[in-house]
Amino acid sequence: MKNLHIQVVLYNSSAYIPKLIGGLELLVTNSITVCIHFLNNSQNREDIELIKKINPKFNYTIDQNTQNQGFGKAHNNLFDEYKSEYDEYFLILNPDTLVFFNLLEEFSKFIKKIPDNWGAIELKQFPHEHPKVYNKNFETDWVSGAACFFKTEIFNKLKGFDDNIFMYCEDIDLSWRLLDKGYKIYHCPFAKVTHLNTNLLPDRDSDFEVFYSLVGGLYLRYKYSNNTAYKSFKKYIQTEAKFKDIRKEVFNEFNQMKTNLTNKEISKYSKCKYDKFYNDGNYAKHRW
Amino acid sequence: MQNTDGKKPQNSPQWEIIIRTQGNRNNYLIEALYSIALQNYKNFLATIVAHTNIKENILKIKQILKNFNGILNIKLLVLEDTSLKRGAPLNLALNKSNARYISFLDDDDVLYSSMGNELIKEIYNKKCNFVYGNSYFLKQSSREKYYYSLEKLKGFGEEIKITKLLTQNLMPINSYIYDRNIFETIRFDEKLDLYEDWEFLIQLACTKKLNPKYLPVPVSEYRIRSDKTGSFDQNASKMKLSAEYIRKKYKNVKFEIEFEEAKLIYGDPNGMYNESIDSDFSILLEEIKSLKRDRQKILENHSNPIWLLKRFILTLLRQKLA
Repeated sequence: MKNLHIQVVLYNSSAYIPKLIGGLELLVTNSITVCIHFLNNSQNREDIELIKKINPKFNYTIDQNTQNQGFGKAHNNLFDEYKSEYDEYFLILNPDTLVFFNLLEEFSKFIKKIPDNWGAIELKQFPHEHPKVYNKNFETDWVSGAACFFKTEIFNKLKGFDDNIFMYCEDIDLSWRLLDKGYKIYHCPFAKVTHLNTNLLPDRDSDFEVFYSLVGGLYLRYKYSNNTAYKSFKKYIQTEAKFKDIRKEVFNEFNQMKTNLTNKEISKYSKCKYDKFYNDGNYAKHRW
Repeated sequence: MQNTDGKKPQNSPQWEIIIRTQGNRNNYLIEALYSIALQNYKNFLATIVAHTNIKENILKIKQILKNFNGILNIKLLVLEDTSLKRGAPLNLALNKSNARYISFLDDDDVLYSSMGNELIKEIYNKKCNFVYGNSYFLKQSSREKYYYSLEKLKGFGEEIKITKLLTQNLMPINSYIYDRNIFETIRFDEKLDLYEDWEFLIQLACTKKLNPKYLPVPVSEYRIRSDKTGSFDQNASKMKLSAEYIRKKYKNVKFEIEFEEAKLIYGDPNGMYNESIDSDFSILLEEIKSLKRDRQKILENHSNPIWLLKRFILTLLRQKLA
């Protein structure tokens, strides 16, 4: 690999940008040229001004969205814009991350250990590691989009993330589609990023994440035509007291999303063998 | 919230995180440093005390620190006298510190990003001098060249009375921040092989100035590893000797405790405080409230047998209460 292209979607991320850039500038690259593609999803241009002010040492591009497109669609747009420059694989990073300086070295060593038919490799998030299980071959049920390498050609072939999902669960959906096409997905415990995600602690939940996880959860169950899982998840949202205040909005959001799915698509995804809906609402077995 | 001490220059770090290391487990040190690099609190300093006389280890640490240029404000101190015990490197850092707020971190543990902001705000707003939060345990098993995390559990995190702090080694060293202005002269006991962190807390309590506050927020993580490389796994005979040393040191120290705390220690063997009766009473009151709510719903249909039955139970409960 001669060039590494990294995609970062911003949304009022000024508090994190100096460390994000500082970490990327300290990456041990071993003559790999790094280029970051920033896309601002917010109408507030503070993030863009800050990046220009810092003027990172690496190559970078900045684009501004006319409206907040959500996580997946924004990354798809960035990818479509710059994919012609990408090497074999590229990296997606959240703005509230700080990469470990040895990330690329560790990642390079890792891909030599695994078969070449991989589609995505998530990095280890630190210190709030995702609790989903991975086996001794580092294979896992889905990869988190917060810090993940994707093969350029495969991402392109699968048309990236599902545009209908605003936030959360788009990475699960893409993981299943990758697995369904016969590609492997991995967790790399050696290449790490610090990620400010306290929601991964056992007793923490943010309202924002809960809302979009419920919407995304309904959508996945509907899209992959798992009627039993869909009905029981719907009932869970309808009956659980803690969702009383957001229930109506969750269903409104979901109803809008599902109109974008054609019967042909639903029929196609219903054949996917890799959709996993556990009774606890998760999409993989969790270690805690 | 920041720069609350008017005597110090504007840019002088207000919070200092003291990290001790022997320079022989640098993979952990790297993680410890990354865990504090994303602190929301801006004006802080990480002081690393390398307690080693091995030149190669010191060089390796310096090499690692180059990877944090610009993202972390770091000071490196070296204590070459390895005959000194665990408290010595921490004291060296305390002696050289100018920061008002102090916390400690072992090189194989981590701090969560909101620790500084949340705890220092609490010290500042609530006029207390010692704030602590929730500490988590991460159980890990060793696999080839990496650790597989098995379980993450909430470990320490509760409102505790000073009596409990004096008598039980509960609070992890990485779970609190204290105001050094109040405890300027307190240092770790350098005679201790182990439990120097617990004894430090006892010293703070014995000043009678300790005003602790618990904040239920995640602040730190402790690793417990199957190969026993974590600081949690300690030598049993050293533990015994250290506990004995502390017992002797404080044997004749008198400490005033509140009446409520005395009750916690000695219990209520004669039932003098009738706490069990109080709690039964509260259960009954709750039941009555619930029945009243049901009654409202059924009022429109007085002939409903369920309602009649509940009214009967309610009457019985009232009689029992009376």
